[in-house]
Amino acid sequence: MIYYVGAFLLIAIGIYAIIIKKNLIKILIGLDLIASGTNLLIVSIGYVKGGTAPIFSPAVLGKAVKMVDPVPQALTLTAIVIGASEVALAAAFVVLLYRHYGTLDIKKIRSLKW
Amino acid sequence: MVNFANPILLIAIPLSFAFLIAVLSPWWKKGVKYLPVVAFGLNLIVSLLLIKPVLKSGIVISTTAGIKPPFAINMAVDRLGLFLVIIASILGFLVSIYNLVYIKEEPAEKFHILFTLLVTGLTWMIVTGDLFNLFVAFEVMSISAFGLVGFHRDKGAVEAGFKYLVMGSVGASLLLIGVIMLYAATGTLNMADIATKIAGFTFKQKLLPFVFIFTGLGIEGALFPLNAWLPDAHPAAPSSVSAILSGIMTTAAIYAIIRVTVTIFNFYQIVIFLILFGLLTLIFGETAAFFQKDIKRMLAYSTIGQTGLFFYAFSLGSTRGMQGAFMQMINHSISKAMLFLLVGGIILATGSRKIDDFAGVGRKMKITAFFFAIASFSLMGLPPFFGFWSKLKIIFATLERTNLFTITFVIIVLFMSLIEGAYFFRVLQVMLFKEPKEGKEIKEAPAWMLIPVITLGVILLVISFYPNPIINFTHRAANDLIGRSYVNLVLHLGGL
Repeated sequence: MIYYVGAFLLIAIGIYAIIIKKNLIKILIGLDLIASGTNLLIVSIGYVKGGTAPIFSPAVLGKAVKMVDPVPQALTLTAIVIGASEVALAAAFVVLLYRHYGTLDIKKIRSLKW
Repeated sequence: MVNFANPILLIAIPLSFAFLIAVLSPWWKKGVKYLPVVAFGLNLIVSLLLIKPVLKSGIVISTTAGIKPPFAINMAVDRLGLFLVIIASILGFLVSIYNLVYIKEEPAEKFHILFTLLVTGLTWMIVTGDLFNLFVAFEVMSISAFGLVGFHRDKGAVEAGFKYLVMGSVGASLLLIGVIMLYAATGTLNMADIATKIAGFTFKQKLLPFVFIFTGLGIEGALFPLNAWLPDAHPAAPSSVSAILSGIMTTAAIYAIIRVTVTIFNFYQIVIFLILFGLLTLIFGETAAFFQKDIKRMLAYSTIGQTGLFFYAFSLGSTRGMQGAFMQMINHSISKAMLFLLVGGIILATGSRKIDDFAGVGRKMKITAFFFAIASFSLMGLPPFFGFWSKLKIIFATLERTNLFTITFVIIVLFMSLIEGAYFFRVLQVMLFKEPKEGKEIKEAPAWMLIPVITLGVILLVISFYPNPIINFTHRAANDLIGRSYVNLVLHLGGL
């Protein structure tokens, strides 16, 4: 339960940063927080209390062992890669914006409003 | 004998060609621009080969890792997916021919990689049968679109690209949250399997994941309050990219919404709500387009309007309404792509994007003006063009039940078509009947930029005068969708 609360809190903080903050870098951090929150949510959905890693080994063979769900972990790995490339692209855009305008304040950048 | 009518090839071919471009570009810088043409040419062949088996059995499924659905990831093309796949391959093929001469700015090879990935991503989104795979395809498509929007790297392009990136990635996160909620509730990611397991859920239980997925896809599909990025992003991109973005990318996102709403959630309770979304998008897009002075911005707003129109027709929920929506999708994809490609040629000739600077252009660029007229007539729905048949179908679908609401809807749709006609006729009037400005030599666009447009124009004319095969086909696609045969076919037919 605490994981879900943490994940949604992270997502909420990220959305807050994107909407309220005027600094491009802070918006970028907000994007990253949303991605991290989502990843935490995915992993915690597959979590089983006291479960082991979902690997078949001689130690667990033939016994009833609690295992965590492996699918969300695979999904998270994919989502992390995608999130990283998104943030990298966003950072490249921020660098280009800084070169054009000499500022990171979105109020001073002409049409960057949403 | 290898079976080439396999949906997985539609992704595998262009994806491997995209990597091939990256690998070959240091040694063969001049030649890599031909690779996307080859890739989408092959894609076109595969998608045409798919026609026969899809018409015969209603669906073609391919499995990965040799495991039948609902396990592992499967790709499925049914009638609804088929025509979108064909349009995507045709547009990808023709626009990559257009790119051969249009793209002169460096780094050209990176442009071609991103362009190939963009079209791959949206084809992927159409053929996939797995929700998480849908998210991955969505991201492949949108990340390459972010890069392409910022390709010119001037002030406007970078701003539009960043704005689009922030909105797009928030949307993607929302989509992922919705997908993972469904996984937590049903324990599967296969669309057909989720559809059977979710059938016993109450409306309230289904609503929250639906809202997340709908919002995430709606940002890319440019539904009304979520489309602030589109009028900046589409004009800022190179014209050939705008043709893909406007022509098929928003359509693919709307397709995903349709797939999720009807096939997975089987939602008819919130139909009024969806109709409202469609109509608001239509009104917002068309009225905003009317006041634009920049031609690409005008076309971008017109895309929002058209998206609203076919989303409205879809949310009517009847067979006829969906049929109208699919026909309008075909019409919009072909004509809007033509318009953007033609505008690219005009901007190259005049060096300006202002409509007022196009005075007399049509007298010098006769072929361009002719096809601009055809495409815009079809888009606004003049008979005998294809747009007329699709708008007629939408109006008939609305009037299936006559009451105060439906009559209001018809009036709104007709009035918006009128506004659409007004702004397209204004552009044509400036292009054809105003005296050209002195001192500037205006020449017809290069042949390789005209050939794709002429091909699209011929396709449009053929389907305008022989609409019956498409009308019958979209009717069966709509029946399939409403009957939700996709679920049964995927789960019971399985495998190639």
